Formats: sequence, structure tokens, C-alpha cells
Amino acid sequence: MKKISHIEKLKILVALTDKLWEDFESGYLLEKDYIFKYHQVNKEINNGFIGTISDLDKFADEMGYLILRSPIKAYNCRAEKIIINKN
Amino acid sequence: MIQQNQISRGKVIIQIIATALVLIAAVLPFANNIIGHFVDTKSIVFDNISGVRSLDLDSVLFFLSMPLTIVFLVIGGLFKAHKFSFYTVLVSCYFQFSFLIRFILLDKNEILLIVEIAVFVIFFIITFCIYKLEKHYRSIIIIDKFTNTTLDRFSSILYKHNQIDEKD
Repeated sequence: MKKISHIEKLKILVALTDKLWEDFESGYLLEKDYIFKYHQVNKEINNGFIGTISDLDKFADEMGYLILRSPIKAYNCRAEKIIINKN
Repeated sequence: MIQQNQISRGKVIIQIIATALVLIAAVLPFANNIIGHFVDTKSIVFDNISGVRSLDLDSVLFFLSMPLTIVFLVIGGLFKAHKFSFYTVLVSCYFQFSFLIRFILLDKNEILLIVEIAVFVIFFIITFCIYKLEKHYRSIIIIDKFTNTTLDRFSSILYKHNQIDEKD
């Protein structure tokens, strides 16, 4: 079980809400679904029950999203690029 | 696209230069020791100075490095040097402090040990607290941005609802 840092978790969850908004704007999501899913993510951001990466993957899977990670090399730091895809 | 690339590359170069300056600032307080390793600085003495009776190159280097260190730190802070370079400055400050204490309490062995342990503990606590605070600060910034964007989004949804109601 790989633990995930608090900041990284926050970044991924915020990216998930961004993706939700993008889908809502382009018409893939209904307004009702968007608000429901947004509330779930918001609860997670405020309370923070998720401790490991697999928990986060499961959470995103329940939303209907997939988190892809690909390590990329930057100029001065190792960063992880995060892509969130709709299932 | 090309212009944006150039801007980002310029940003990276500026960041690298700022980081290098902060790292130099971390090493500068030991400049007299490092140069003294290669050249015999204590034998070169400046005479007839109005401030002090006599001044050797060793202390001249030490005094000159002080303002330069501060200037480099300020430049690094302004142009957003990499955050871990500031931790190296803290570590170098710790070594400087312990060297100075060894210099002052040269032959009082019992006091020296206690004081060194105390200085180590104090600097360790300071570094740890700064690390924790910095993490907390970053997470606050992320949540702040998140609340701002959601406010925008929800207000746009409400605006749409209002327009539909007015049509009816």
C-alpha cells in the first residue's frame, strides 16, 4: 500500500473537479449529476478519509473516472503528470 | 506557442540562477575557511587602516561575505528560487553557529558539549517547523483556489437558472 501525501491528494481531487466541470460544460454530464459528484469530491477534500493511492483510484472509479500517472522529467525537479480520463 | 515556450524557458533559467545564488549564499560564510585552505590568508595583513589596528585577509573575507550573503538571499527570494535551496541555507547557518560557539568557548569543554547539543536541537526544531508550515501553507493555497473556482462555476449555473426563469 503506497501512501499518498496530503498535497498530492488535494491536487488530484481538485483536478477531478476541474474535469467534472469540463464534462458538464461540454454536455456529457447532467447538472444534477455534476452537483452530486461535486459534493462528494468536496466532502473528500474537506474531511480527507483517503490514505492510499488505491483508495483514491477506487474513489475516482466510483465517480466514473480513471487517474493515469506518468512520471516526466522536468528541468529541476521530478514531477508527476496527472491525466484524468472519463471511463 | 513559440512565444509561450520562450517565456517558460526564461522562467526556468531565472529560477536556476536564483537557486544558484541562494546556494552560493549558503557557502559564502565559509569563504574565508575555504580560501584559507589553499592560500595562507592569515599572513597577509593590511596595515594603517583607520578602523582597526591590523586586519588580515581572513577577517576581511569574513566581513565582506556578510552583506553579499544577504543580497543573494534577497534576490533568490524575489525570483522564486527552488524551496530546498533555502533549507541548505538553514543547515549552513547551523554549522556557522556551531563553529562560532566553538570559537568563543574554545577551552571550556563541558559547556561546549551542552551548548552544541542545544544549538543542534534548536536548529532541528526550527527546520522542522518551517517544513511543516510550508506544507500547510501550500495546501491552504490549493484549497483557496479550489473554493474560488467553484464559486465562479456555481454562480454561472445560478445565472443560467435565472435566465430560464425570466423567459417563463
